[in-house]
This record gives sequence, C-alpha cells and structure tokens, in this order.
Amino acid sequence: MTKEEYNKAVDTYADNIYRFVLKHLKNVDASKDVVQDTFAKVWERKEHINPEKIRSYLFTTAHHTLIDLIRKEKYKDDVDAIDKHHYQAPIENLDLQKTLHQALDQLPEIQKSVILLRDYEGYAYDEIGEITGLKESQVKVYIFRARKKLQEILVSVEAVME
Amino acid sequence: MERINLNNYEAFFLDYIEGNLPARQEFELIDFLNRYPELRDELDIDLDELRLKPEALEVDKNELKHIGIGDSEVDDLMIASVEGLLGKEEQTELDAYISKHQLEKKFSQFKRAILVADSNEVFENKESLKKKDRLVIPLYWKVAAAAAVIVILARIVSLNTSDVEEQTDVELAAAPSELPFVYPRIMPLTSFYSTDQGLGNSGNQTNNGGVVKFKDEKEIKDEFITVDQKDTSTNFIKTNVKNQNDKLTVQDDQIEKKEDVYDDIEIAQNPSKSSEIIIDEPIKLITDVAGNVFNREVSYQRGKTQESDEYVTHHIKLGKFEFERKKH
Repeated sequence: MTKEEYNKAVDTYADNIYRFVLKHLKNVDASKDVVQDTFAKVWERKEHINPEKIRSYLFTTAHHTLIDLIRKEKYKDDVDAIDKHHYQAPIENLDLQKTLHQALDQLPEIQKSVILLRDYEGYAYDEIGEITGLKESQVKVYIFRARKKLQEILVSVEAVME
Repeated sequence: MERINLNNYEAFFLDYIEGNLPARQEFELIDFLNRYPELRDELDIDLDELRLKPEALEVDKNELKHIGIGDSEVDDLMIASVEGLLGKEEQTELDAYISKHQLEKKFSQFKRAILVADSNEVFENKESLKKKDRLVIPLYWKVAAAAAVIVILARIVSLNTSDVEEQTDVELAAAPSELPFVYPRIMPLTSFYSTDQGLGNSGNQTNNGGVVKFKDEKEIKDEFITVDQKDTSTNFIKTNVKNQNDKLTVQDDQIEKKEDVYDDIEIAQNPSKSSEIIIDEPIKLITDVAGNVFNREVSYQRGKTQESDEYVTHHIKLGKFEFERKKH
C-alpha cells in the first residue's frame, strides 16, 4: 500500500471507524485514540496490506484494539463519560434512531459489533466473520439475536408511547 | 493366530459366547479353563439379559415436515426477510402468513430496527492521520552541509581570536592611560596610580599638582604577582602587561590626561558598567538555513563589550552540541 492509498483510506474510512468505535466506547477522546491507534498500526503494516482490502483491515484492527481497550478499561460502564455533544441523534427519523441507538447499548459487545458492521457498513456475514474472528454461522446467530432484541425494545417503547 | 492367555482371554470368551469361536480355538479355550478354573464363572453369562434393547420413542414427524410457517419460527423468518436471506418462494409464504395472522406491525418493527449512521459524527482531524511529504536530503548532503557550517563557524571564531591576539601582541601603550580595557580586568587602576588621598607617594614620577602619582615598576610587579596568585583569570592580561613593564615609561603629557584617567578609575570601580556584553548573530541567515536542512537548532552568537569592538564571547550551537569560548 502506498502513502497515497493510505491517505485516501484516511479520507474515506476515518469517519466510519470513528463512528464504529464511538458507539462502543461512548467516549470521544478514547474513540479518537483508538482511531489514531488503528491507522498507526495499519501504516506500520502497509507493506503487507492489499489496498483493495484496506477497509476490512481497518475495521479488523479497530475491532481488536477496541476489544482490548474494553477489557482493560471497561468503558461501557463509564456512563458519565458520554459526550452529549458528540452523541447526538441522527437527523433522519430522529426518535426511532435515538431509541435504536439507546437499545444498542443494551446489547453485548459482540452483538453490537456485528450489528454495527452489518447496518452501518453493509458487510456480508463472512466479512463480519473475518473482522470479528467469528464463524459465519455465529455471526448470523448474533445478528438474529441483536435484531430480536432491538425489535423487543422498539415494541416496549411504542407501547409506552401509545 | 494368537494363542489364548491371561491378557486376551476376554476376547476368546466373547467369541465363544456369541458362537463365533472356531472349533480349534474352542479346544484351546477348554484347555485354558482347565489351567485357570477360577475364570469359569466369567463364561457363565446370559447374553440376552445384557443385550440393550431400544426404547420405544415417538417423534413428532410433523415438526420435521415442511408443512408451513409455525408460530415459533415466524420471528426468525421476519429477520431473515429483513436480512435479505429468503428466497422468492419463502418470502411469498411469509407474506401470506403475516397477512393471515395480522403481523404487519411486528414485521414493520423488524424492518425499522435497522441502525443508520449519524453523518454528523466525524473524525475531525484527519490530517493528523495522514502521512506528509517530507524533503528527503541524501545523507552525504547532510554531512557536507554540517562540515561546511562547522568550517564557517570555526573560521569566524578563528578570525576574531586572531584579532585579539594581534592586538595583545602589539606593544601595549607605555602609558597606563592607554590601557583602559585592560585595567578593570586586572585590578583597580589605583594599582598603577596612587593619589594623595592616602595611597602613598612612593611613585618615582608625579604630576605637578600632586594629584596622581605612578607607582614604581617594582611595586607594580609585586602587586601583579599578588593578583596573579588570587585570580588566575588575569593570566592573559598579566603576561602581556608584564612583557611591557620594561617599556612602561610614562610621559608628563600623558599624565596630564588625568580626567581621562579618573574616568578609567570610575569604570574600574564600577565593573558592571564595563562588563555589559552586546550579543549579535552575524550569520543568522546561514545558521537558519543550516537549521532547516538538519532539522536541528543551529546558531552562532558573539558578544563584545560596550567599550570595545573586540569580541570576547563566541557561542556555537549545533543541535545538542554547544561550544562556547570566552576571553578573560
């Protein structure tokens, strides 16, 4: 991978990696650090990376870095660290997406990862499996469980609103 | 063929019970039992009693048949539909089931339970992640440039030093009044002059007004030695002045410049006035360029006293390397 290809990957994927990480950590600074770490690791391995697979490589690296950090720091429990300013609801379909993203926090980390990779990035099951180190069948199971959980939360919220 | 023994007799027993033991080995078995009669009991087994019989299990075969969508699987099928995993036939069947059981709302909830990324959430400082082009300077260029800067700086220092040496090699003025720069660094000018105000009249020459008197050469030498012992920093000046002692003849007209002498005395008694050093950077342009090339701080500074054009300090800096030279 050349420097130009790497810099292009920064422009194209830095935001995606950042969102993916932020949804896990709920901490802007920590998320930025993970993004920095991720790109630094990719740059170190640039000679071994096929530019066509840079996106998958970035998400794989980010996921591993993220899991390591969560295990060490347990950021998911640090509710106070949520940066309200940067954790705004999406513009479209405000209430629904806000509810879904809140529901996302109730999912186990691995389910959160696979559902984010599926919905945000549109990855196929086998690609998610490569990124997360899971078998394709496991990825399907986690996605099915996550969808069911999200739907249940949606039902409960709508029941309250009605 | 393997012969029966204590390590393998169970296999022979089993074959015998099941009726699979050849006639020839049956004789061997009987012979073996005669030798080990205590093992006869192990042959007294009713195999029918020990044989496992299958339980009478019933399976709901309808569950295994594809007879349509059941209540337990409709959620999974809805999710599979959202995930785009259903074939055309399966999707049609699901739609029919949903319509029949009025599950449109639930199916809609599954369809809407898709996360959408917030495009406002962006990594703001992408430039910090990028790799920039840097000017690549060959190593030999760096070495050559470093050598050039060192030579230039060394030359500048050398020139300044030789100026001073040339000046000190010149015969110093016979009269002390011509040594204004030298005096403060050696001792108060009163070492050379004595006045009527309590400094004695031992000089061999005085001015007519009796205000200022010169001490004789011996006194001056003695005091130099004393000062020399106290302050090694005066070595440089002392040596030169000593060399000039034999030329230290004072003329009356020089002594008449007593007001100048008093100025010198004032300077000598107030060292701060004469010790102020003016710093300048004569080759700042060159050192700045060199600094950019090496990506290190490069500077050359020199300093001179207010009263003289002579440069008394030189300071060279090349990254962490610093060299400073001071003249006393």
